[in-house]
Amino acid sequence: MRETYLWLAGLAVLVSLFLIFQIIQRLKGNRSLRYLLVAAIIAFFWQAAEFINVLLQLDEYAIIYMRLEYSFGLVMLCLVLFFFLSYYGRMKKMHIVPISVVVVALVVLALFTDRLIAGVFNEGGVYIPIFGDFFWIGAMWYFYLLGSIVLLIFIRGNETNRKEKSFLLFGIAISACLGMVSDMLFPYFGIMSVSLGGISMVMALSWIVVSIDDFYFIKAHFSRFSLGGKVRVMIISTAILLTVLLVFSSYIISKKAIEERVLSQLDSVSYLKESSLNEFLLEQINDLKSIAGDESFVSFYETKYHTLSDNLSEHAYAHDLARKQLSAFMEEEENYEEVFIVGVDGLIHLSTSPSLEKKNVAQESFFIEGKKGVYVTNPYYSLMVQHDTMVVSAPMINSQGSLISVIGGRVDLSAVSSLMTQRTGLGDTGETYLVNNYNYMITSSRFQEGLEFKKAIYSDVIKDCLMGKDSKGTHINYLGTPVIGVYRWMPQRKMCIVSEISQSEAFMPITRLRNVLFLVGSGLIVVFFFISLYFSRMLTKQMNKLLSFTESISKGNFGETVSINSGDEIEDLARSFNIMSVELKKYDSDLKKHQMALEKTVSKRTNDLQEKIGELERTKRAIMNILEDTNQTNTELSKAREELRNNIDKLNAMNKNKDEFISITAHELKTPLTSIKGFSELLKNESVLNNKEQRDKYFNIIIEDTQRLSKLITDMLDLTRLDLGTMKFFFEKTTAEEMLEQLKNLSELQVKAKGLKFICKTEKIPGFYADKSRLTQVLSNLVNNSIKYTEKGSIIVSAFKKEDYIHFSVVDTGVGIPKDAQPNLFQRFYQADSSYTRKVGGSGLGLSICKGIVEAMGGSIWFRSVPGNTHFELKLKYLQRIGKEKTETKVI
Amino acid sequence: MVKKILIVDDEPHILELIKAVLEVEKFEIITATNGVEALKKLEAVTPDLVILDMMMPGMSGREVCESIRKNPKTKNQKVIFLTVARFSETGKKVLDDMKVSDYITKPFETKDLVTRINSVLKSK
Repeated sequence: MRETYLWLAGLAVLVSLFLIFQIIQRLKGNRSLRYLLVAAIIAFFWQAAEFINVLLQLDEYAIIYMRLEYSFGLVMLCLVLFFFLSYYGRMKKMHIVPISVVVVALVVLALFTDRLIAGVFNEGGVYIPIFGDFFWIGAMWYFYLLGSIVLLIFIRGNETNRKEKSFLLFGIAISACLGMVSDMLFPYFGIMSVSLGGISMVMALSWIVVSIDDFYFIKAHFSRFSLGGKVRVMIISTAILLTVLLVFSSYIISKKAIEERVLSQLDSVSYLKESSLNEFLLEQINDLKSIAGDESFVSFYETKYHTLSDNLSEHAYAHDLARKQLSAFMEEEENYEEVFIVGVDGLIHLSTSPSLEKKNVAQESFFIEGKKGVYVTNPYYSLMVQHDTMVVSAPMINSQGSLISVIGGRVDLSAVSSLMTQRTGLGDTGETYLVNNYNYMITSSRFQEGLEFKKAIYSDVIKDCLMGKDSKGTHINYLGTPVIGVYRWMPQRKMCIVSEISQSEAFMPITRLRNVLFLVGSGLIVVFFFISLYFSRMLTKQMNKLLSFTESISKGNFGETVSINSGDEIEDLARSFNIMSVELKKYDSDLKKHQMALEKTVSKRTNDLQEKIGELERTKRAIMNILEDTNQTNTELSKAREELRNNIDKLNAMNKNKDEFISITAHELKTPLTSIKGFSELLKNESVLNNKEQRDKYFNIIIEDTQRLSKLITDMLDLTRLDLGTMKFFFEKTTAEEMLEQLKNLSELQVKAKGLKFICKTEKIPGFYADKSRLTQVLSNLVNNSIKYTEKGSIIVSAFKKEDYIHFSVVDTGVGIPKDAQPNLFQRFYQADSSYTRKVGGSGLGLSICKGIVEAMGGSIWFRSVPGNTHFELKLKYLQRIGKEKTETKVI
Repeated sequence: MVKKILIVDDEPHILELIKAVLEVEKFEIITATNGVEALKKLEAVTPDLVILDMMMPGMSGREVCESIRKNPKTKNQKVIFLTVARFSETGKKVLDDMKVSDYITKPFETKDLVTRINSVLKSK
């Protein structure tokens, strides 16, 4: 019944696990969440199993569950350490401290729980809970769960990859191996291996579920196997499955059968032992009864012992005589260690051990019960003789029928023990022993000396047995060995007789069977492997034949046939392929005929075409020639168009410049005009005219602006002439000295007014031809600019000849021209600094005019300037003679 | 109440002329010879009208007007432009966008100048 419940619970757990894993699998993307859920689910079912366990009182399994948790803790610990080690290199330093703390805490916790668990198994292998409560077990589990959460959070930070997964599986495999090794080394820990195996399975299962994607990967891989591979995999997996099923079922059935046989054997042994024990005791009773019924002894004891009691010496003599008789009797019956007679007063009158005489045994059961009839005590530990003993007693009755005393005999217990330890069909490890109702072993063990009355045995089967319930089955005995045994209650003796044999011996044949089954199974798998090879090869051989046949057809070898006599679908396929091949050949020959006819027609047509093409070719060549000419014209045209476009662009730019120029010119002209007009209007006013100060001021402004206007107009006329190329130059002979002298005179007033030095430098240069007035205009413009922008220092004007040119330079120590203004200096209406210009006057056309004039005369002008040194220089062709008046026209 | 007028022109003679004409009409006159100076003066004083020359070196009259409109304090300032050319239709549209009250073309009649200024000052 219990087992049925357990199986049902297990099935329910598996189904629920499957369903929940299905749900988890849909939680894609969040790997750590899946891990956590798996951990939580395992925890839940663990607790559920505990609950069922408590509910159904599955005590034997309870031990297994305890062990499970213990080993699970170890596995978790191993995993935590394992991860700690495998991640150590990659961890950031900040992680090491908290993780170390967690690991150390887990180790301490594990040690603590280990103590807790270790304490609960007593020497007899019987589980005695220290806290007697499943609370602690649950709490322990939650501690582990906490550890795993920490672990999983840690894993989350390092997104596990395939390699790490295989590491983990490796760890699980190692723990399973450890369990197996521990099973071999310490049979007592056998349960641990079971549990480790279970844990490994659960973990592997959950791991497979969480990495279900890899599963699909395997599935996809399988579907890409070759036909032979598929056949092999299918046959071998079926064979393995069948073999495993066969081996397991036969193993389990035979185990059950053997268990029953062993139990019946043990049963008969225990009956045998019981009856021989009874027989032995009966014999002792009969012996004692023979003394008690010996009339001569009884009468002797009664008369001599009781009547001569007043004569001490005679009494002593009779006493000795009686003791001798008892001793003689005891020697005859070798199983007694002492025979004694108790008087009705409860004192031992006579004993084979004189030291015990006169002791009061009035309260002992053998005296009380012995007065009534024959009585056998249970084996017990006697305080009087200081060792364990068993007493048989019987009443001594005289001829008149009245009780005179009780005769008792201490039975040698070693005789009972040897009776029990005798090997009667119990093999090497089997034994029979007695347990009294204080749970103490009262006969000696075959395997360990001196356990009698020292070894208490607490186990459920013993408990049941002592309560009068007979049982049989497997359990762990006082030595911690898993045994199979029979436990029977002996009501007259008030003892439990135990017959048991170690499982390893009892199941020896099954182990042998298992090994044979394993070998046979492996052999079967190997055989199936070869069978699968044969089948797959047979299949693929024909398929390959078919494949090469179709390949040959595809190459054009129509009409070929293939012969396959497998008698299955492949033969059908081959047959239809053959039909196809023959049909193809027919079509092919038809096609070839058709093709030949077609070829003839085509070749005729081709010839016709060739002729026409020749004609066309000639026409084409003629057209090509014409086209070439046209092309040339075209390129010329496009060149011209491009030129035109460039010119238009230039013109547009010029137009834009012109608009700007006109607008500035208008401003420059209209500003003085406005002022002249306005002030003239004001002067019409009587009050203004009568105010002398105002009147003079206004007149001065009008005069200044008139001068400005007239200068502007002169400059613009010059510019227009230069632009139109209508400026006339009159060349006459002059010298450098003359030019410089004229310049000095022109600027003398201004130079003096500002307190500057004016220096002229010239080499000896022979006279040359030049337009004196224009050259003076240019040079004086440059000198005026220098004076305007120089507050103190000097202005140096020099003339020199270099190669075929005559150079003039004007250098000053003024403010200089700002860097950003330098590129635009020769532009019209450009002034380096407008606010300054107002102070110094000028139209902004001077330098533009200079450049125009110099270039019109075939020379060039340039400058360089830094603050404190501005250098303008111009060069003109050095003309030594000139035939006639010369006019040059140049467009700037 | 005496009306305040700020005149901005780079030509000192023009400044002198307008000042002389308007002083006869009893206006209070402030002058500036460039855009930067004009904007600085507008920070301190709020005139009833600004007469602004369009063609000035550095900041042009148009740029000065844009700055006036950008400043929340002076964005409703009345402005008259001084210019040498008549405006085309698109030019006038630009003037409207800049909320310029009127423009005066050089050379101008002194009477005409006074009339226009008075009409602008009267308008809202």
